Amino acid sequence: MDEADFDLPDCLARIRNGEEPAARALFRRYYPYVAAIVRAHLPPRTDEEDLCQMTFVKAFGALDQYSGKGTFTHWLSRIAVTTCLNQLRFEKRRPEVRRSDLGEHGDLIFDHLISSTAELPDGDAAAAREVVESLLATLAPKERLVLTLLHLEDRPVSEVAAMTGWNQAVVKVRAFRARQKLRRAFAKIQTGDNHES
Amino acid sequence: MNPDPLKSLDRLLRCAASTPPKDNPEVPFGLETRVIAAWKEARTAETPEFNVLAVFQKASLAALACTAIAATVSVSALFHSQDPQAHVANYALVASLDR
Repeated sequence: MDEADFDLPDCLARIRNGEEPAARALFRRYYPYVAAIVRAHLPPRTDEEDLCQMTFVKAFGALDQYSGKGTFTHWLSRIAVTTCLNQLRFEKRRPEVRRSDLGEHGDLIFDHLISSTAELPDGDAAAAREVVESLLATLAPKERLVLTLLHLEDRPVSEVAAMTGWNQAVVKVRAFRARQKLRRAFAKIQTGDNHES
Repeated sequence: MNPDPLKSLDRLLRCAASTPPKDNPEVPFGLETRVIAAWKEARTAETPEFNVLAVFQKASLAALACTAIAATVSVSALFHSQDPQAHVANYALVASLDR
């Protein structure tokens, strides 16, 4: 995010003094960034607006704790991610996914994956994303979060560590375990369907 | 043909990751106002101008302290008084307690 035309320290100082225009400016500036994070980790049946609101209210309330050492976007993203994670904890995990749950597009994607070793076509990206999200729904919130950040958003481990507050070793271990579980869920769909056919 | 599930999963993840990001969202109507209102409310709660409960607590503590000091002074005066009548009263008080 380009900070050249935005005097962040001055804006933060004015917000700490209770100046409403500065708070509005900060909100408008960082809303797209927060909304993108929230949308990527949005639990089902949760309102995106509510989570954005919770994130900003928490951020404004904790502004005194921002020391200015790291980038403000990292600090803000950590609040957004934690807010989503807390919300995900209220969601019940789906026990398993069956191939029939994946819909017509998901079914075609699975056919392709089983019958060929070629990459999926770009046009299937949205359907592939839906399949992955269905599989991720079977994992615990922290596992879901780490895989989304690493594999769907393609963020480096260091950035995931900064966003979540976990150290890099924890990120790697969680990602490894989560991938194992995801692989089992994936294989179960494959083998389950093979037995049926 | 049944490819390795791990490789299939990798292919699935790679394809899913290539989903183009959605456009930058507009700020929903009323959200900015709600956020600012919640922030201002939180600020007001942090710095109350007149906290009735705190004043009541301080007044209660002050009254308790005054009562304790007055009682200490009264008892002390009763036992250390040189007045013979006070000694008689003291003796009578102790005797009645013994009974």
